[in-house]
Amino acid sequence: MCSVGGPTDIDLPEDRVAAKDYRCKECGERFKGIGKRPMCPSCQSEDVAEI
Amino acid sequence: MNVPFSRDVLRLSGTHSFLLAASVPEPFSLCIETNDAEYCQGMGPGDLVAVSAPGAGPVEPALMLLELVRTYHLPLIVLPRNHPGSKRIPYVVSAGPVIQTSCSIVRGTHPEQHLICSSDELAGIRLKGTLEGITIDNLPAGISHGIIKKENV
Repeated sequence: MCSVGGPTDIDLPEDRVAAKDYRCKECGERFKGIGKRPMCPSCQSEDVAEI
Repeated sequence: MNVPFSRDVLRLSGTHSFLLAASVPEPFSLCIETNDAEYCQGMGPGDLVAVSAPGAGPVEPALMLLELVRTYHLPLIVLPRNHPGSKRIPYVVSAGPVIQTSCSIVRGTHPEQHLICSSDELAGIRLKGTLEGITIDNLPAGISHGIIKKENV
C-alpha cells in the first residue's frame, strides 16, 4: 500500500504486483497469491500448487 | 530494539502522527481487493499488521482497523489512483514479515515491498516480526514507543 503527500491514498498497480496463480489442492479454489506463504482464501489450506 | 509481546499492540508516536503494529497469532489468507482482481497474501505467526495514521487522528479507530485485519481477517480494499474517496481515508494498512515506513513513497508501490505511508517524523522505521514480539530498527529521535495491552484493545 502506499500514499504520497496530502491526503492518504492507496494504490496497487497490477502490472507491478508479483502475484502467481495457485490452485488449492483441498478445495480446488483458484487464486492469485503474493508473498512467500500462499494460502487458500477459501479454506485456508496451505496445500496449494502453482499453476 | 526488541519489544517482546504477544497479542498486545506496539504504538510509535510522534508529535503529529502515530503508527500501530501487532503480530499475527494464527495463519490466515489476507485478501487484497482491487478494481478487477483479488490477491491473497498468506500470513502466519510472527508476521505483522501495521496501521499508520500519517495525519494523526484518534487511536481507537486504528486499533479497530488493526483488529479487523489481524483477528477477523477482513480483506483490504484498494482504491484506484485518483479515486475521489482516497482523501477521506485517514489510516493505511500494511502487512507482512517486515514493514518499513516511508513519507516519500512514489505512487506505484505495493504490498510486496512492505512499505507503509507515514508522516515525515516516522519515516525510515523498519519493523520485523518475530515469534516473541517486534524488532524495531532506525527509530528516529523523539519518537516514543509503548505497548497497548490486549485487554485495553
